[in-house]
Amino acid sequence: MRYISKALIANGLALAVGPFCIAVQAQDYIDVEAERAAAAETQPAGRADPYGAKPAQSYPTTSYGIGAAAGTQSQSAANNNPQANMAVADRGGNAGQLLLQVQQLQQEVMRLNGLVEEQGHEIRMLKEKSLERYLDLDRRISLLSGGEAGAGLPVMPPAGSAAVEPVASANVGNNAPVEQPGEAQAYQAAYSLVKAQQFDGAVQAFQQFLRDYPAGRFTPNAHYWLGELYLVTTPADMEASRQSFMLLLDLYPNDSKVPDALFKLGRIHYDKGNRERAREFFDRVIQDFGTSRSAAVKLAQDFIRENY
Amino acid sequence: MKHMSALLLAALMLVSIGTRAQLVIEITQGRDNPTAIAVAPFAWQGTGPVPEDVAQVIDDDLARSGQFDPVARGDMLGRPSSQQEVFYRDWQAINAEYLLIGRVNVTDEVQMRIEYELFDVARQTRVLNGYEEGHVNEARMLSHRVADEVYQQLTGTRGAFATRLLYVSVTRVPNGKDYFRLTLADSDGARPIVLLESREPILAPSWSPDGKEIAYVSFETSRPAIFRQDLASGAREQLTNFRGLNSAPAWSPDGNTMAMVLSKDGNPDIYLMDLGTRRLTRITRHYAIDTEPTWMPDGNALLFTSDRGGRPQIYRYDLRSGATTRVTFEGSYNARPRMAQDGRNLVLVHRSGEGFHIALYDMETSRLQILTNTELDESPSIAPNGSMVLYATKSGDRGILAAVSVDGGVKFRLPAREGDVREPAWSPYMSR
Amino acid sequence: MKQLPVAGKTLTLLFAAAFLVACSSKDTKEADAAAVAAAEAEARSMAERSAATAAANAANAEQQRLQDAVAAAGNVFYFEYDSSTLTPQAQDALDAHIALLNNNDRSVRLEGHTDERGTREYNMALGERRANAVRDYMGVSGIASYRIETVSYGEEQPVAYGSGEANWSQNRRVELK
Repeated sequence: MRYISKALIANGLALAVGPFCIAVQAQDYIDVEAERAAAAETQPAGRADPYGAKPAQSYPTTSYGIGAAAGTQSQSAANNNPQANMAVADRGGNAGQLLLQVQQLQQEVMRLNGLVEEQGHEIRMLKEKSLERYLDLDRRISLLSGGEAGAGLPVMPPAGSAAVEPVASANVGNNAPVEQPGEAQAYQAAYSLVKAQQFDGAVQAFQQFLRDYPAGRFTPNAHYWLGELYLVTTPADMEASRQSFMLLLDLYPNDSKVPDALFKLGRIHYDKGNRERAREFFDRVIQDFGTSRSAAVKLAQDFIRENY
Repeated sequence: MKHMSALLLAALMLVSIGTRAQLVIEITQGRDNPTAIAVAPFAWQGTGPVPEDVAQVIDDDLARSGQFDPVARGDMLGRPSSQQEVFYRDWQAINAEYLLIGRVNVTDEVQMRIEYELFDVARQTRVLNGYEEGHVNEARMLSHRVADEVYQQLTGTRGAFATRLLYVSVTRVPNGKDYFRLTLADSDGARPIVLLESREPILAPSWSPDGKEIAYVSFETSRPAIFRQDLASGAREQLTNFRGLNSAPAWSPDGNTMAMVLSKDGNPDIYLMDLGTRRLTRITRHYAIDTEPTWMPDGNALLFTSDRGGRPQIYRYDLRSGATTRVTFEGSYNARPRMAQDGRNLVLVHRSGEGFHIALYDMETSRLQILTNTELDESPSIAPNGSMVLYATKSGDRGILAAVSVDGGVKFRLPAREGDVREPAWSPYMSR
Repeated sequence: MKQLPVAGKTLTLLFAAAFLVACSSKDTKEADAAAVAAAEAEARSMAERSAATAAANAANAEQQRLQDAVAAAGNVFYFEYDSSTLTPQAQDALDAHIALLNNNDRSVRLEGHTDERGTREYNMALGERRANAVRDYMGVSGIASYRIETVSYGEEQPVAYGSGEANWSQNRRVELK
């Protein structure tokens, strides 16, 4: 904004200087013809239409005036001449119009600046709320249509996500959940949407899956995939993603997807700008799972090498 | 120093005028379910007349907070001043939940000691006891300190009764120049002292973080200038005398820097003055109006009003990154921010419809809550404990001060007996 | 508003430039002019003397006319709410003042005021913006900036006490003193 304002001011100055040249000249030399010509220019550019003023047109008379006026009459004589002074005031009025224009432009820029600020704010708000609204709508539609997941819009594939085996991994926890009837089919259906890159549909499918099988064998995987999916839907929802990964960590600390979830949490915090917190997660992956064959360990090591 | 003695003299001469402009408190709205507390008259153990009705001062403080409903003295069945004299059934009978008793003594005619004990009537136990000591001239301040202790014990929040107010009062002179007075008073409006009187405007009083100094803008030189004044000595110092605006002084939380508004470079911008070196740093650089700076409690950011978006809104300037971001988006007019010590509650002047109201903006949830319903409310100042907001409003054609709790539940007015009162500034906690 | 001091300087430079042009052209003609000037000088001074009385009378009459115009225009310029844009009426009134000021070397003080609505500090700035709007208008009309002092009183010195547009409109003003 600063540069724009400077540019405006510069323009305003250039404009303001133009007509003033006549004023200078008018004090030296009283040229009735030039006076009339200038007055004719000044008059139509009345106050009602400030943009009608065309100062550039007065340049020819100006250059003529200075050449002819040089040294022919004294400054004091001009000062005592009321006609000349009125002319100064008139030309001043013209410059005054330009000044008003600059002020109007400033006000207009400020108003537009405000508009940009407000729209930027609204876009931010909309981004934050759209997923929320979408999920709410989805929930209600699901209730009405008996849990049928709508087809999501195809979006960009997940980039740089931790390498994870496509199908459910075995749980190594002490109280490993047991597979429920129909659970595997529901999980596969949801997962197939991920493979088809129908991420919005996949989000709904996994959410429905969690409602239907809150403690099934594939439940940790569903949390994991939701965490991944929230990052690739538009708009991405880092907070929802973080919560999904944290849920996995808190509920299934021994699940095989934990190192991947830790790595992703590190990435989320890094993307949010919290380098320190992110580093904690990466270090945890390496410390706790360094001896395992988890791909997350290498990813974490690579990431630290490149970014810290 | 010349200024100082003249000012002291002026201040002394003007005390009598000040007393007439004393503020009187009227409670207009309280909480639904206030705690019933009985403050029994404190026993006077000295000689001569009682210097101050300590219990009454405490009683009034607690009532004004809106969180307590003190029992009328006439309803009390006894006047205990020691634990042995307390009969709980007397207080249960009049539905008092708590009982405060105490004793007042003055030694050597100057040293006052207030001892107090607080009892939980239902559980029949003493929950707090202590004492306050000080000069007898400070009797009211000592009483406020007792009220602070009781308030903290029963609400969990530090009390802010033993604090002070600055405000500007104006006496109109028809067909002539008005009288402007900068006044210092206790938080209940009592003991007003006129610090400065002028026929030219005085405005923007503000406190140093330690409560020992104040800053304000005075037009006494026929142009605005920022002054700094020590309360104990009365010594004062003109900090600025620039062409154009010299306004809105705001002390940084560490007391070393003062934010202010100067237009010496063409239009109103925010500057920081290092109070040690007097060096100025320009913070904003915009052809819009930038004014009303206030500090975030951590001292790392400033909030200010700017119309760079066409209408006045609150912006935040981060001193470390130099980034300016807009804070408020709701409504066409948000101005004069004042930050609570929690760094979260922001009070400001918000326009809705044709009226200007005091509103509370939550920096975390971005929610704006309008606290007042009068039309021309301005100059909000938040208590150091963040519980109440003092502000200026109009009653008829007169300017008065009013207060509202940050949840909007409690309201009271402090109308002056004469003149217009405006621009209240609530002090920080006073060090003893 | 920021551009005005700059504008003032630019204008001063322009004046200076104009004089330089005038001087240099005078130099080139000096040799010729010197001889003619001596001869003409006496005749001119005679003519000037008789013309002077007439000119003085005319100047006085003009001065009076300008003062009357200023008196008619008044020295208070009013503004719309939250605006620092000169109204056409204010411009007309100012033009009268400018005409007079171009004829003398008086200094003026512009005091900006606002109505009571809005916060005091913001109004202090708004009052200054109004005073500056008048100052800038005078500046581009040829009144040197050192002759103009501005000060804002914000909402602190109302002319009409009390609320309502009838009072407010009287308080939104710049006073020329």
